[in-house]
Amino acid sequence: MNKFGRFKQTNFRDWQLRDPQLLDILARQQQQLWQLARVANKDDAVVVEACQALDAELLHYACQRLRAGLDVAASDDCAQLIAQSVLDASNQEDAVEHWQKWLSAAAYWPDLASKQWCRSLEKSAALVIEQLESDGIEVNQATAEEIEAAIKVFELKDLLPPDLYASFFPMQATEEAES
Amino acid sequence: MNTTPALDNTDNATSTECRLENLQQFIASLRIRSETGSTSCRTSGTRMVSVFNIPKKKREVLVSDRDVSKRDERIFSLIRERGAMRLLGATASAEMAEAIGRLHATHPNFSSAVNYILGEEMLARQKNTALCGLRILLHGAPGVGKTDFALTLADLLALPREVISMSSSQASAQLGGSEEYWSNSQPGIVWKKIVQDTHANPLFVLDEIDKTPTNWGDPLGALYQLLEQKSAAIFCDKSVPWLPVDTSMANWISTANDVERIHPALRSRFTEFEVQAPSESELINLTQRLYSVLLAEFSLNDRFPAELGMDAKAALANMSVREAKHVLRTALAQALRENRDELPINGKGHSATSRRRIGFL
Repeated sequence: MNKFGRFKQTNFRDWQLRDPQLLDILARQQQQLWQLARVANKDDAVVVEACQALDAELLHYACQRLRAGLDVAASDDCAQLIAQSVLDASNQEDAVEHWQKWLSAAAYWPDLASKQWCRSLEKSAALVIEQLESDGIEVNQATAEEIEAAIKVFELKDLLPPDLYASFFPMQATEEAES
Repeated sequence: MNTTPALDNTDNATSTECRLENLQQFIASLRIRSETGSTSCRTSGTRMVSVFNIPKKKREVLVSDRDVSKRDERIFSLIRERGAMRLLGATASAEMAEAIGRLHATHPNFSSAVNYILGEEMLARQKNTALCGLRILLHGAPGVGKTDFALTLADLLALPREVISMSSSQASAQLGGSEEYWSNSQPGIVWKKIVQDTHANPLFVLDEIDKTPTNWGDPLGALYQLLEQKSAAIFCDKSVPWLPVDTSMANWISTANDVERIHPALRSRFTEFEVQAPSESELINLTQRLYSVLLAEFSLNDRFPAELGMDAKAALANMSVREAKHVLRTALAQALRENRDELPINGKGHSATSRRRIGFL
């Protein structure tokens, strides 16, 4: 639990979702489902029977919803983590620790964080402004725009210590180091 | 951003790290503004300035120095939370000059000091900044209104103020903090006022600086650094030696009865003004003003005449300002208790209520 509430990541802790390649697996499973649906029109009676019993559309929808749920969890949680990094200036150690725990929950979370980054930034700007207002600080439109503009340009490496960033995003860290 | 937060200049700072720090500093400055009630930073016109650089890392202390380490941690959290930006109050302007000019009427015997402050205001206006770094020493007989002048000035400038009675000051720690090796070490008043409060240029009133006791160390020791422009800009409190703070914008007014008792090196850091007791006519005007202020303070404008009687004026004109204030207040209280229509001040030197003597007769 952080100061904004419970991380949504905790809804996705079932053992079936612990495979580090989960995102690829989901994509492959969806392809498989369509292939199976096509096979169902062939001549093999056993295969046809098995495949006709399979509701490909429903399973495809389930995979899609799971993937969407993961995306929302990633963007919501990252927004909270960004807001904590920004607002809790006096305790950056805690913010970094939360990032570390969140990113290491399963190997695909760093990938989700990267993919959902823009959405996370938008959500976090709203969270920061909301928190400031609830602290009794008047945030006028100009100030809100300044905060939004400042958050909009954040990258993950702005919020993580370099070694932590490199451990979760080795490819990007190497590319940036080379450039 | 409308303010430029202090950036770390160390070699390991990168531009990306600064993005987060800049935003944190901006938010810290919003918090500082909101504490003073001027939250609309676009319209308030009050500038903010950086008073220290936030260190990148907590300093490393010996493992055995647990107290020091814990204190460092608390201070480090505090400075990160509050940020380095502080408000610069008393922005120089025509309105400000007009307000200061009113001191001529309310404190007529301080006219040379008032003129000096007006000059400083004009210089500040030229630089489009605020009244900063005043170092004034007012000396003169007791009861001429030196402390009252300093406090009235602080109110006019709307600056946070700290009155330090130097006659009861016992050690240098009061101003400059105590040495960090003491387990109960804590920062001094100056550090606290600037780092923990909202303004970079508060007003410190050092009352009765000539009566500072010296038998327990030198309570004035820190002033040698604090009153020198360049060294004040990198003032290190003894309790927090790792954080130089810019105290050069602080305003200082000291009062003294006997200026000869102040060390020449310290005197030379002030601009001195000798304050004479107000003349009889000045005192008559002054007591009338004090009377009006009293009536307003207790909402008694409809209850008593707006003008003091001739007898009362004549009686008060023979007193010091302090005495006159005391007599007016006592007489007002007595008039209320006895349901009188006028203040019982007669020509016999003071209020019709004889002064109570305490002790053996």
